[in-house]
Formats: sequence, structure tokens, C-alpha cells
Amino acid sequence: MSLLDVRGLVKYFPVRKGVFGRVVGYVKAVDGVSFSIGENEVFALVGESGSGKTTTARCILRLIEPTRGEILFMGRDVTKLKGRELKWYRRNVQAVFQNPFLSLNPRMKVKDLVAEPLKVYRDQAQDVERAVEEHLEMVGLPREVGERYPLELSGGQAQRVAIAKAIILRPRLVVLDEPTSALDVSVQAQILNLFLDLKKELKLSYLLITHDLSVVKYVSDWVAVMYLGRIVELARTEELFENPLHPYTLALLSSIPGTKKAKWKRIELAGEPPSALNPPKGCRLRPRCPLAFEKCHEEPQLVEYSKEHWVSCWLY
Amino acid sequence: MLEVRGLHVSYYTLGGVIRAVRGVSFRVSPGKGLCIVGESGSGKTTLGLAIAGALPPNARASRGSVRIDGANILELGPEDLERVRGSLVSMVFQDPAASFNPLFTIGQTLGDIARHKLGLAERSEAREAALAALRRVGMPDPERVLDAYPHELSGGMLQRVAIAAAILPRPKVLVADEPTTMLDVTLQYQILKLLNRLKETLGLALVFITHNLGIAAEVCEDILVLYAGHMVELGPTDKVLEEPLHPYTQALIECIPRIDRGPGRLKPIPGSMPDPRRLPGGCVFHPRCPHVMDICRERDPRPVALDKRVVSCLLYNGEKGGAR
Ligand SMILES: Nc1ncnc2c1ncn2[C@@H]1O[C@H](COP(=O)(O)OP(=O)(O)OP(=O)(O)O)[C@@H](O)[C@H]1O
Ligand SMILES: Nc1ncnc2c1ncn2[C@@H]1O[C@H](COP(=O)(O)OP(=O)(O)OP(=O)(O)O)[C@@H](O)[C@H]1O
Ligand SMILES: [Mg+2]
Ligand SMILES: [Mg+2]
Repeated sequence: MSLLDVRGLVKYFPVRKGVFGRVVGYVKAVDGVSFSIGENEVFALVGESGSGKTTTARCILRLIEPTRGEILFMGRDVTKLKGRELKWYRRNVQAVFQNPFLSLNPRMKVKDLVAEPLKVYRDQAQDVERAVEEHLEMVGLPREVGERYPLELSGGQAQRVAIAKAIILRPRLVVLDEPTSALDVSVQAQILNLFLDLKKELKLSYLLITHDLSVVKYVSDWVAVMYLGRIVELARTEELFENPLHPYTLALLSSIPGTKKAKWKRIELAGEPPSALNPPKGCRLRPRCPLAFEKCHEEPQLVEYSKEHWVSCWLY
Repeated sequence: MLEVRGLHVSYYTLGGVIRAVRGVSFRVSPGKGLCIVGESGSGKTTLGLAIAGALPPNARASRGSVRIDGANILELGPEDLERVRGSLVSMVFQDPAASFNPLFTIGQTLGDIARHKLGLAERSEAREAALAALRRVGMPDPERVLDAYPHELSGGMLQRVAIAAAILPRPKVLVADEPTTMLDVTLQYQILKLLNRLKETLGLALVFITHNLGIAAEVCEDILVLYAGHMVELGPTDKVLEEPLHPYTQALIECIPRIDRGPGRLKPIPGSMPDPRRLPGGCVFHPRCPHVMDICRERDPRPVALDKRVVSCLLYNGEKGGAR
């Protein structure tokens, strides 16, 4: 059974205008997204800026209400959870974001930051101090860092603190939203290794949001490629890189620097992504797609192309 | 022709002197590109600013020279510098929004540059020059863009406009400091192609700053690797990427995720960048170097010419084991 099931997720943000805040339209940030994450699996969401990755994550984390759709965690409908059940959910689903300094209270010492979730979710009986020490060690920080404040840390150290804080309650799923985009290359490599180690050690699952396909290649089991609020391709990671199908996926792969000799078909998109306020009718990529044809004025569905590989494009 | 020789740049701060660039030398010919790579804090931006004659007031180029067609930028007074900026050397930054005044339309901003730098007094002439620059960077619908305000344009479009503004006064050298870092990969690719084309058609000497070695391969003939302000390796892009000589270059290449590798663990560079106020003695990279020798703790390596490039590492410094 899968750990998390997202079914037909939709999130529209109303756009208001004038003194009365009349709704003049909707930003269709997420427009019918479905996927599942299994136990101890890494599921990556990739796609251009504004494609709805963070909005999907925020719905899952219950930071915002979805407009429509279901989110099931271990079979339970997340959007309907209240009280103790909601608390149980929040303990089991944690998050790490791009900028650790924004999520760490600058006035608290590292050891108190890491201990905070324990204090919120458990009785005081357990040895908080020891747990904090253990977890600092687990994320590769020396014990003395516990006495420091966030602003006295480097970007990589601060991200490690955010990770320690996220895993101390032993969640089942950790949402990682661009967790290494703000870090230097060498530090990124360290943090990605840490994610792999923790996944193995703690049997974690991750929802990894990134725009870097090469990162996906190293750490993810599954990839979904998003474009303007929709998943256009979804596959096992090795299958996606072996046999990329959707023109948008091909364009993403083609724009990775230093891949001139790669075996996949090189595709260049015309222009820039259109606004999610007024997505094109039919296939949303059509205005930019060099392979578009008559049929693309109709909307394609995500269909199974081969085993563990789905694509939403009239070419297939 | 851009020629940098023995350049040293320091920042004077309350916490002490930061030697951000220490002895960097290279050349870039018209129509060619040089990429500066290195970790955060290695001195890339400082070097770029020195070339563009745009160092902040607390910085000083204490030694060396930066010559563009013979003229040393570092010796110019404030007035000459102002004149030279744009017409001899221009710079493009990571965040295009920060380089535009939000109260002016793109047409006003570009028109101003045309008037001041090209001496086009007529309003219509200035507008024509602005339009030409926008067309040159492949801007769709340039007339409409002239009347737009910066916030009405997307990041990718704004970066195109910033490049148009930079090339408008017809500089000889263009310094681009991480111009694609804030853009999506597909837009990133479009901008790289644009810079490549401009460099060739306008005969620009391009200095491209990035921490992404993959990008270096797309736009530049040569790569300069900086570590803690020191030039560790300089040479043709394919040589440096395929057979790096310096242990730092090797480690930097190894730690970057590559689409043709994985799954599995990555290889970070051990340790971290030193505090710029307390650089280690001897070779600055020795505390993190997998090939460290006793001599590396004592002696500063001199740059040596080897296999079509320049490398600063005691592994290649004569006495110890000859040229290998
Ligand atoms: N609170 C909000 N109100 C209105 N519109 C929003 C809100 N949050 C997001 N949006 C819009 O929804 C769309 C999807 O945004 P989202 O942040 O999910 O994209 P993303 O894929 O995470 O992009 P990025 O890679 O830039 O982080 C965008 O058009 C964005 O402007
Ligand atoms: N205005 C300044 N005053 C004092 N020190 C500075 C100033 N600007 C940069 N530095 C210091 O000079 C060194 C080199 O900085 P620089 O910005 O050139 O590095 P960089 O390679 O461009 O890094 P990044 O990849 O983070 O942009 C760093 O140690 C930095 O802290
Ligand atoms: Mg996002
Ligand atoms: Mg910089």
C-alpha cells in the first residue's frame, strides 16, 4: 500500500480587483494532479517556476486548503483530519524548505530549535537533551553547535539543523522543497548524501521538489514532470532518463548544460511559459511546442504508455 | 583584448582586511569567452567588478593591472571611469530587476544610455538605438517592451533587456555575473545561446561568472578556477573539464551531480572554505586536499605552464617529482 495518495488535486487562487475585492479570475496553480508515494520511496516533482510544485506541497502539508481533490495518508483523508488525528498527521509529515534561515527562529539556540517539536508533541518524560545530541550527530553537526544561534551558522549547517528538527519526531514522510538550491555545490553534495543516509536509516519517504534534474537522478525513485499545474509525465527515475517522452521533459533535459551529446531528442521551446491565470486551451504546451499538431487543440490525458511510465501528449 | 595581470584586490572592513583576489592573470580575445568558476566566496564577483571598473568604495586593487585594448582600468580617475563604463566594459548581474529603476519605462532607461553613452541627442535616434539593441537580443515585440515598466516583464525577458542595456554602448568587454542563476533551465539555455551569439557577432570579450561548471562548457573557450582568491587552474574548457590537473578542480567537478551518473551518493569536497581573514599558510587548498604533501603546508605554489594551461599546485612545481 502506498503511504500518500494524491487524487485529482486542484488548487485555484482567486484573483481580486477593485475596492470590493471582486473575483475577476483564478490562478489555476494546481489543476488535477494525481500521484502516490510508497513506503521508503523518494518521489520527485520537477518543472518550471510557477508550475505548481510548491502549491502541491503546501496542500499536502495542510498549510492551504485544496479547492478539490483527495489527499490520503495511510488511507486516511488528510483534508478531513481534526484534533488528535491532525496532530498525528503533522507529526508524521514534516518539511524542509529552501531557505533554512527563514524557518529557524533567530532568537533560539540550535539545541532548543531541535528540541522544539519534542516539546510540542510529547510529554516531557523522555530525555530531550539526549535526543537533541543524538540528532545533531545524525545530521553531522558537532555537539557544540547546539549552543549557537542560527545566524552564527553557515547555510549548510543551518539546513542540517532544519533537517534534525524535521526528523526528530520520526516522521514517515518529509517534504523537501528545493532543499539544496541555496547551497554551494560541495555542500549540496553533503546534504543530498545525508538525505540518502537518513532515508535508509529511518525508513523515510520524501517528496522532493527541485528544478534540477541531475539531482533527481541521484536520489529519487520516481519523477513527475509538471507544467502549468498538470503532471505531463510520470515514471520510474531510470525509465524517465532512459526513455523520456513528453516534449516538455525533452526540453528540460535538452537545456541541461553540457549534454550536447546525449541520446535523447533535443527540443527547444519557443517563448516563455504562459500565465497560470489564462492557461492555453487544449494541451498547455502547444503554443511553445515544436512538435504540436492539429490534435493538440484538444486536451490530452495522462495515460499509461508502458509499465511504470505515464505521459500526457497526443504523440503517444 | 582584455588582459588582467597579477591582480590583487582587498576589502577593508572593521573586522580586518579581506584579500579577495590574490594574483590573477589571464587574457580574453575579442569574440572569445572566459568562465570564472569556484565556490561561494572564492572572489568571482570581486574579480568581475574589478574588470568592470565597478569595485565598491571599501575595495582596493592593490597590485596588478586590468587592460582593455591597452588602457589600464585601475589607473583611471572617477570621470574617466564613468566614461569608460559601458563604452569599454559593461556588466550584467544575477538579479536583473535590481539593475532597473522601477519608475522608468524600459524605453526611458535604454534611451538614457543611448543619449549619454552614444551621444544621440535626438529623441527619435535614441529610441531607434534602443529598439535596435532589443532586436539584437532577440526580444519578441520590442516596441511594446519599450513602453513597459520593469515589473511588467518576466525574469527571463528582463535579463534579456539587461543584456540589451549592457551592449547598447558597444563595449569591448562584457562581464556577466551569474546571469542565469535565477532563471528556469529552459530560459537559462536561451540566455546562454544569446550570449554566445553576441560574443561572436559583436566581437565581445566575454567574462562569464558561474558556479555551474556545466554552463562553462556551453559558453566559454577557457575556464579560470578560483579558490579563496587564488587562481588554481586556467586553460581550455574541454581540457580543464575532462582532464583537470589541480586537485581542487578535480574535487569541484566530482561533487556536481551529473545527469549521466547516479543513482547513489555524491562526492563532496572534504572540509569547507577557509575564513578569508585567516587563510592557511602554504597552499591555501592544503587542508582540504587529498594529495597534500608536507611541502604544501609551507610553500605557496607558483603558477606553472603545463599541458596548454596554467596550474598552481606543488604536485607540478618542479622540485617534487618534476612536471607530474
Ligand atoms: N497564495 C497565492 N495566491 C495567488 N497565487 C498564488 C499563490 N501561491 C502561488 N500562486 C501562483 O500559483 C502558481 C504556482 O505557484 P507555485 O509556487 O506552486 O509554483 P512552483 O512550481 O513551486 O514554482 P517555483 O519553482 O518558482 O517555486 C504561480 O502562478 C503562482 O504565482
Ligand atoms: N563589499 C565587501 N566588503 C567586504 N568584504 C567583501 C565585500 N564583498 C565581498 N567580500 C568578501 O570577499 C570575498 C570574495 O567575495 P565575492 O563576492 O567576490 O565571492 P564570489 O566568488 O562572487 O561568491 P558567490 O559565489 O557567493 O557570489 C568573500 O570572502 C566576501 O565575504
Ligand atoms: Mg516553489
Ligand atoms: Mg558572486
